[in-house]
Amino acid sequence: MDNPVAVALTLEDFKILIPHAIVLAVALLTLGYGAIAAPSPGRNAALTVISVFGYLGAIVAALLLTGQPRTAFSGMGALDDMAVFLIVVIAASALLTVFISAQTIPAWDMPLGEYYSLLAFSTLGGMLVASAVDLVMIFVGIELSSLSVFVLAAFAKRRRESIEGALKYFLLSSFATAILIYGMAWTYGVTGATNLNDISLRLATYQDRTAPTLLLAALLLIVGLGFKAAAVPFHMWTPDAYQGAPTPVTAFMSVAPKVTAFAAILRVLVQGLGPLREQWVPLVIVLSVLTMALGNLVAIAQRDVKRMLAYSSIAHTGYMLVGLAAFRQIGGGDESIPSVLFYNFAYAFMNIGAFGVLAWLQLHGKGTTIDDFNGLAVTAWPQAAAMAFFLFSLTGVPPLLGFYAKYFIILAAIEAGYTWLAVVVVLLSAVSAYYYLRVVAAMYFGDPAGAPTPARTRFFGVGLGAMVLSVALFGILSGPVLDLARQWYLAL
Amino acid sequence: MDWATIIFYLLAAVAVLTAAGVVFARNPVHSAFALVISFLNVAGIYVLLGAEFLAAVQVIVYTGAILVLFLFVIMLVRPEDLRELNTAPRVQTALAWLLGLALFAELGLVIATGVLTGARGPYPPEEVAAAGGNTQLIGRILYSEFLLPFEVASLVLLVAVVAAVILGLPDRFLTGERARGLSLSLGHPTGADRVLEAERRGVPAVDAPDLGEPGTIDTGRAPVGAGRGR
Amino acid sequence: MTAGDIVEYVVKSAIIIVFLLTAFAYMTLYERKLVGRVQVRHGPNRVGPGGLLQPVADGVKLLFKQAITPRGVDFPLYILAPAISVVAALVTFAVIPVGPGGVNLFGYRTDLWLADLDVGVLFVLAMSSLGVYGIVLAGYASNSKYSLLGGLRASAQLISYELSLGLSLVGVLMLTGSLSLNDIVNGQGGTWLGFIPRWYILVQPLAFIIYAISGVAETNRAPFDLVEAEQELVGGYHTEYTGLRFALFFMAEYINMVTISALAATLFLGGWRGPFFGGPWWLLLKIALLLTGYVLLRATLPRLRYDQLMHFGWRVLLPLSLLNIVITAIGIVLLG
Repeated sequence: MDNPVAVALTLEDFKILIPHAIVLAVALLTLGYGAIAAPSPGRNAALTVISVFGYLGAIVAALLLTGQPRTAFSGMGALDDMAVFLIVVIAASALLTVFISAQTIPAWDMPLGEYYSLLAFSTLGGMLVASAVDLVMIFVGIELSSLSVFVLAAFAKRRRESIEGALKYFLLSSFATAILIYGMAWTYGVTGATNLNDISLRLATYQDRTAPTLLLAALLLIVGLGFKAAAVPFHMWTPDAYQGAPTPVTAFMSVAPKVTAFAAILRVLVQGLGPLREQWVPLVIVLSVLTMALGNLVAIAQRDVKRMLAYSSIAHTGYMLVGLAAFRQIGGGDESIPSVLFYNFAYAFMNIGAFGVLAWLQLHGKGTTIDDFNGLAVTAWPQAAAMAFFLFSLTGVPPLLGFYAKYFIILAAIEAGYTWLAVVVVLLSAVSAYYYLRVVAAMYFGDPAGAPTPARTRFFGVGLGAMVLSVALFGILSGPVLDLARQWYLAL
Repeated sequence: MDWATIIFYLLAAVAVLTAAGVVFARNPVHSAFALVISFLNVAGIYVLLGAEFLAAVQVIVYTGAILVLFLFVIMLVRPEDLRELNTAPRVQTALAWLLGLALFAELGLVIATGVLTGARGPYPPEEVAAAGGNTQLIGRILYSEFLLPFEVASLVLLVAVVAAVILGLPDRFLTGERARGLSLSLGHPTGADRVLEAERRGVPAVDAPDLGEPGTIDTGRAPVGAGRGR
Repeated sequence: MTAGDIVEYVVKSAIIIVFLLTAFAYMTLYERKLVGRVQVRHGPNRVGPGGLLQPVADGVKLLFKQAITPRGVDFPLYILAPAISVVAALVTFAVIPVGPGGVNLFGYRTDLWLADLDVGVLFVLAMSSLGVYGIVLAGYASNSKYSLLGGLRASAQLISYELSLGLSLVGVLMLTGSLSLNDIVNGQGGTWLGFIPRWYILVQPLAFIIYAISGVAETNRAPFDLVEAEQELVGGYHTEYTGLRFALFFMAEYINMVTISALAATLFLGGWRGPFFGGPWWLLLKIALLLTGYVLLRATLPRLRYDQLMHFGWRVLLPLSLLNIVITAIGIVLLG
């Protein structure tokens, strides 16, 4: 029998999977060790150490592989610089989540081993999407990532809201997945390829780029991916799922799946459907305006800080979509995609930070409403200062990380000729200052309503400290980070 | 029209009609059974396309395993409990119909007007025959070209297993101080007899339980399968 | 497809169906007789010479019994359930080769099988998985606790044992490199050392044991007959069925036994191949031998508890069948 499918699989192929393999090892180790060993503080510390070093290892491994783009597994995966960048962001958000979970999860009577394991599986899914150049790969990666997050969202399974939020997330997400895979099927039907580079090549040869079949494929893909990123008409699950989940999970949920979704959006829309730019950009503009407007305006009305942050994360999706809308062509001089990547990077640190302080409060016997923040500056000044720092950054106050993120987005929009879109971003950022700074005001000018009850929070200090440092430091060092984001283009 | 075309339209018509039946049937068991028939007809279409392996797997996996488990769960749910779920406001229902029909019309329009200029796939029938049949070719592609997604799919299944254990097990086995050994009892509906009170700790602020004590069984509930609707 | 082909298929199908129905009828008699011997009784011996007409009498009795439909049943599904069981049981036999291809029968050249599918083994598994629906739906549609619990038990058991059943076949498939039952039978042609037939049971003993046990469980027979544990569940999923509808379930169970035996003979015992003479008679002999095993099992072994059943399926048989695949793979690589 002759072999029509001649595919040589060499050791070189596996090189692109080193960061993924490390995270997979974390997932399996924490799962196995957590299941065998009886719960004890020592076991929990060991699990945390495994996770921390695993994610650090993955980040280092990914960074070591920059600048040498490599496609492997017969075109299924690639470790180009964009993949490295997104892998670092996703692994970093998992790392930061570990810091704010290490003490909260056991304190709330939840199984830590399974928790870390699911966290690692979700991270792995995101990393696989980041380094995927094939629709099939993107699909299984997204599934791996979101399936783990459904369970994490339901982790406080004795609370009705947790189950309710997770169920909403699960049902709506399944629906969106169906739409996404339908879009992929149409794309395959029209182009006869699942590899994104092949799709792009074949689309470029088509004369009629407004053929209904093509438009339908693009539409379905945007709807499916827009759901995963929580863009506005498809955001319905977000507030309930975010509020119901345990706070450290919410921190993770608001970042890693979103970055995963953006990784998929960049791969599919830019790398695959790039030639259809003129067709999908108007859609993305509409989505971005809706998302920014609704996220920011509804956030104003929230008294619960957790829910407020949920809506604010929707708003941030809108800003990222603005960057995407500014896309013109792949190549040097186009700042749109680097700005989106940089925004994802910045968003990870400040958002997990804000949720981290919230989790810290809960661990100390407080709730999540704005009244619980009253006078925090008096009772616990370091945490209050950190929270203020993150909120300023989320608002976009210079010279913090969040400012540069928005700055690059606005710059890209103006360069692409969408000055009005840039104006919308600035206006709505001003609106967001109202609800972010309200929390800061409560912390510094409100009357202290009883000191927080003491609790062991060693890891929190490390995590929050690291995030504060990153928000300050990367703000100043935004140039080199942006350069890394830019390099991907040159390799394509 | 040759035989294959006629058979195709027959299979397709039944598949579509039963798929509609899944949505419109009032009794969930009838819905599930309609889905079984729909899947069988889809398997028939696979046979017409020369993908016998896919057809057999479709029947074994979907109708033989997944849908049986669906039926399992549905049979244990009382339909009276389900009716409460259908309490959407009228506006929402109307909007859902409107949007659904719009999408339907859109899809119909694209399918009717759009010419599928689809490039020929990489594996035409000659290629399949050269490999010794579609079972052999699928096996080869799965373990070479699609190796990576195939392996990742196995991870997805692993996560699903972990998820089922976490969400299904009583907390005692997940966080209790006692060893988690292989002490599950399959004879009990919840997998364990009682939850030890002594294991409960201080109540944290927000993520504290408020769903009542875990592991308790509502004995007021009618036995499974009793009083089902007609 | 010419008209002649269609006639050929119809005739072959008719022969298979008649054979299966006869086998079903006399299997019941055989079972009662044999179990009677084991228990030092005579068994049925009043109707006809030595009780040979007993199945006919039973059939007539069931045919003329009143068909009672309990109140509150889900009527369409209630009627459909026994039909699904029987059809799934009958159809499976279509892919089993009963003799060599290209035989001259009454001056007409034909193959001694109804269909030679590329995916024959998968077809068998698919059809047996469809048979589950008959049981599940019967349990649901009867509107009775006993039926529902019997149906749930049955389907849980079927799903559990289907896994090890399917996996035990993989070893044979790896040796043959084909899913066609015809190729599998042909792969067992010839002998070692001139007299030991090249049957797969000699290469795959573990697989055969797993298959045999799972096969008994698949057909819900003793010692795995919890489905109709009369002390607990009255009659299991067919509690609420009478007359002809009950007969259909009964028929499906026995036909399934015949099919499982025929499949065992085909996969592990060389099918219709054998020394001195080949063809349908050898297959028939092998089937009869395996069916005797079925009956003796029932006559000797007590019923398992439900948790023992599940435990055995998931923790013993399933790992063993996976182990068998690994061993086979290593063997194939090492020995070529």
